[in-house]
Amino acid sequence: MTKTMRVALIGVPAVAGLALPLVWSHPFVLHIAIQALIWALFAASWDLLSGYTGQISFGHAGFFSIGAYTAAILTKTLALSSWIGMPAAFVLCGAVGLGVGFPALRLRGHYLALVTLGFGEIVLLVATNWESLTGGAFGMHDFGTFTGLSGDPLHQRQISYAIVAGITLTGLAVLLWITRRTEAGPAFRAIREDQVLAAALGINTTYYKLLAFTLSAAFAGLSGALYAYYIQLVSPSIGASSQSALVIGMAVFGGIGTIWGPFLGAILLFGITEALRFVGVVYNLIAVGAVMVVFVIFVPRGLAGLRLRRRGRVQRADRRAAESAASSG
Amino acid sequence: MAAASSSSPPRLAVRGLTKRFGGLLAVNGCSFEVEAGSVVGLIGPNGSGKSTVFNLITNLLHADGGEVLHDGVPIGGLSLHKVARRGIGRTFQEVKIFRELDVWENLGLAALGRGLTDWQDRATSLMADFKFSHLKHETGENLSIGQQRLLEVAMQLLVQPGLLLLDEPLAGVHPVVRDTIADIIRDQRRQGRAILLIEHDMRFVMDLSDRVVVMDHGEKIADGPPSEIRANEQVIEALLGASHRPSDQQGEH
Repeated sequence: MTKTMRVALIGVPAVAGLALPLVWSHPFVLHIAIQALIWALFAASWDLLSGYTGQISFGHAGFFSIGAYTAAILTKTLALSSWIGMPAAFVLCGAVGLGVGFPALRLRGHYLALVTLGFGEIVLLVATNWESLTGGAFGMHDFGTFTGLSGDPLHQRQISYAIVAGITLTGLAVLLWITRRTEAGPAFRAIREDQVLAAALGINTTYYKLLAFTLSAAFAGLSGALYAYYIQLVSPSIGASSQSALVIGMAVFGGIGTIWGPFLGAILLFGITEALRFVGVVYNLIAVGAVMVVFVIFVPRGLAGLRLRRRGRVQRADRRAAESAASSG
Repeated sequence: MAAASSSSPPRLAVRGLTKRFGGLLAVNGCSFEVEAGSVVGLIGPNGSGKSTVFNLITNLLHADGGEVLHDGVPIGGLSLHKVARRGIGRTFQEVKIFRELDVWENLGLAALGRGLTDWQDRATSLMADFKFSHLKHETGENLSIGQQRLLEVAMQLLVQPGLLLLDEPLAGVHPVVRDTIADIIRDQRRQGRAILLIEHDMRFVMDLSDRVVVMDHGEKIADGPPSEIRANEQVIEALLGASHRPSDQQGEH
């Protein structure tokens, strides 16, 4: 397959899929599409840290929650624009991620997972109990949507979709660029595969682990800010561990360690969950659970793995050809 | 040797190195040197503290006493990656490569660790030398043990460390690979590298080493040229057992 064909094969459906909610501008379609994209950036951010760098986070909803609250608080109490609230959420969550990253330097595997789980619970408790700042269990509302939006509700929703799509796709591009075009990408993978070997080869594992925590938390926070401005309601439940579990499920479904896999996986899984609402709001969750179980067992590398498996087959065929050529030559 | 060490510090100097694991004295006041352009064999029975010495030199473990000097500079406080960046390369007793990444990616990460950008040509020629050019895109876990060992060594040679620590490079490898590894070590010595070699294959160590350091129960019990070590009764008793008389060892050569 030529490169042009490959680009066309991926690019055309992607552009068509992105344009669909604008063409078929039903409020419900836009509503689903916007939320799916927010989850997609959230899942990709988790994947950078946990899939790509191997530092398993069970508390990622904590960063999402901090991002959402940062946006809500800045806009509600300080009357700042969403165009300040979003970068502020990004930067603050990056700083929190850096802080959480320090204990992670000494911990691995289950122990790190427990620390991140604990972090998520702390955020949940703070959000619930710091009533003067967060509004307590009822959360915050009435802080408005993206600054500058006006007109009829459908038009607003279309613009919201364009904003969310623009920001999440830029986020995806940045994450892909970091992992594929900078030294950080291979360093992250080296850490995931074998930290001792990575360090013994001269890779500064401390720096790169902290970088992964910072970037991952920042993008999770950004997705939280998008959520806050779109939904216009933040409550402690957005930081619940079930949210962290869901984003992990989405990433596994999409194929961890690929960035684009979890992004795509989140969109599809969110879409499936919403599309199956007609079977009942509990049954659709059961169906999504079943999809995840099937994927973990039969397609452990997720949607992205289907492509990788094909590449593996091609490589093996190439090798056999090369070997037979060598032995006959 | 004495003249060389008076003019410039040895590539590696280990002085009074000590390490305790709870009640166990794993390494006890161990001292030796490795000069540039020489091979020093580090031998001893299982559990005598050889690999612990490697881990102490590279700061994977922190010493309870003594010091390690690299080109005369103490390196005890440096982190693992800084030790590597000084030009100290090592292999591990249990092969360490990135098992889910392919051969080329493994070499690329070795280059990344030392900040090399122009490594591709050298990596290609190393792969050709080691006869695994055809495995360039094979993942590490699909390689045989021998190929994994060679890859591990190739990752070190790519970055040309001034001091190379090899931990049982022959474990589980085919005799043909064994000869390849011996050639590599000789070649590296010629190029002026200092090599510290842990190996249980006595013939291999005695053939290659300029000097041999013998450890037992964490202590150095002998240090000298192979001929001297071979004839040392204490070493024979401690390590080689009653069946390995000096005459038997001589007869093999």
